[in-house]
Amino acid sequence: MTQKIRFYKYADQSDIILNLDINNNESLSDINLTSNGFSFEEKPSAPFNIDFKLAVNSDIFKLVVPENAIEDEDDFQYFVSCISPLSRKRQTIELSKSKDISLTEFKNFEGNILIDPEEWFGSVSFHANVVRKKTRKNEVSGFLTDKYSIIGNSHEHVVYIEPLEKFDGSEIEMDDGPIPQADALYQLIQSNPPKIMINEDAPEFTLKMLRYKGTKNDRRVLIRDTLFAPILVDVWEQLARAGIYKMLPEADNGNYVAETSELPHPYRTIVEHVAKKIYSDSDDPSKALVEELEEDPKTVINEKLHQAVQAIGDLSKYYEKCAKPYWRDKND
Amino acid sequence: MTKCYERKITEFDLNPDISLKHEINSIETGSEVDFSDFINFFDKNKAKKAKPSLDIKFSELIYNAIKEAKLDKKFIYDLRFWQWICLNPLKEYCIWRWDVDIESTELEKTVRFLGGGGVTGFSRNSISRLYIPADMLINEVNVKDLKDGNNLFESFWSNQQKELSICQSILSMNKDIFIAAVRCVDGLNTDEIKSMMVELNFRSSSYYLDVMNHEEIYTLSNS
Repeated sequence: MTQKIRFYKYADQSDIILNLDINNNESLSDINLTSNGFSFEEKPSAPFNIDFKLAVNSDIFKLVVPENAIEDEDDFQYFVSCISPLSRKRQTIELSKSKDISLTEFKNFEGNILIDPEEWFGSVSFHANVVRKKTRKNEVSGFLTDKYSIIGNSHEHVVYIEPLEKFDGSEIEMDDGPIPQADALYQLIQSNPPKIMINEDAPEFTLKMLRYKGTKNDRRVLIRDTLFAPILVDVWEQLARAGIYKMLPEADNGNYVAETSELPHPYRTIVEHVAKKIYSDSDDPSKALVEELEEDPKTVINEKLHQAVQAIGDLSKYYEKCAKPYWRDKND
Repeated sequence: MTKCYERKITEFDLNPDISLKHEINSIETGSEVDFSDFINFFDKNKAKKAKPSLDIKFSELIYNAIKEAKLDKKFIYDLRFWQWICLNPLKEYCIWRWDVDIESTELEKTVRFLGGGGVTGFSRNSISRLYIPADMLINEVNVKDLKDGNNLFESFWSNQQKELSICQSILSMNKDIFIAAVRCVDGLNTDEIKSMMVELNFRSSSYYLDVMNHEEIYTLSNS
């Protein structure tokens, strides 16, 4: 996971706290909490408001201004960025001072945005920025002193206006029929749901095994599941690879990789599943994936992906289950 | 009447020949966009091989057609609307522009009709990629620094890399940043355009470009 290194004083995100409150009314469906925001059960049918409450620790104004300067919250402006690539919208809401009296070192600001679901799609991400109002005359090394400088920002919150379609791999269909490459065993057809076409000309007992529907815990099921596991791993890799390529920009600007939330079904959930496996230590695995794709897509695609899908497909588990009865020594 | 699909079309809804596998409902936009000027220009020029050089004219034609139809603004950033155009009145243009092989089963070719996720998707859809720059630039600003006086629009279409680099940048969803970016890359070659957009992106981490006007962003980028 990448981390921004800054060569200037910058406020800690724990000192700039943005809270969102969706004005729920009867026309809205249930809203679920996610790791980084909210998700609607169904896309809302009517406009709704989101209220912003921002708490800024006034101690930051000692940190981000040069030692000889005296500045306070009035020397800065407070904005919430609202970004929705699927809606091709990038808006800014300026927050005003809250009338609530603060008894702590935190200063409160507030604002709101009206979201019309006819004009917004997918998800909207929100984060607050604290921005310098005026340029300080004397530039001081290590401090951002220009007008419009961002001296700190909050964590990001995401509101998913359109609910997430789930995909757990069990939706993959299997059939047998003709496939283009002679002697190949199967072909993945990227459809919704994805389909594995087993070569109808595959050897007799191979077909018999792959068609076998048994579920009883016997030798046939064991062998079938073990031999099928690498196929499933390959299918996950192919689907995830296709999804990741959809996230990458055509232009080599080094600046924009699409969010996983912008991917169509089933790629979105497949890629998010892979991200969770690769970046299991991250609070936000999807974001970690985007950041690494911005920096080094080849490592993700050529080195990390094929290992992650083996873990998702439980390859080791199937192999062990199959190997155990036959490779067990007397002493084991 | 010009329409918009009821739901977003995916690559799985299309046959290799770019026809729909099954019927998909569409909704009325309430406007009638007249595509005849666009189609006439296409018919007159489809024998030409220098397709990118015609982008500027097609961009102007689709912009004028939609503007004259007084289309409700809510459809402009709704990919379902652009999908309907690409799969219906202007399908032949899209096939021609990208030399789409209708025999091929390659799914990736559908992106030129459907767009895709996010800001990149509007740039990949064949018609929204023409409309959006025109909407951002035509009749908007006069700036002295461009060699041809005030034609930002012409400058934008002078190099295909500008469309890719600027329109596929998440920053350019902001109109002032878009305009400033076009000014900044005027006269630059392909590699310089890429570098300039990387530079602008870098600047955005310390300057809040979203509240700056295009003049201020341009000055900052050239400082």
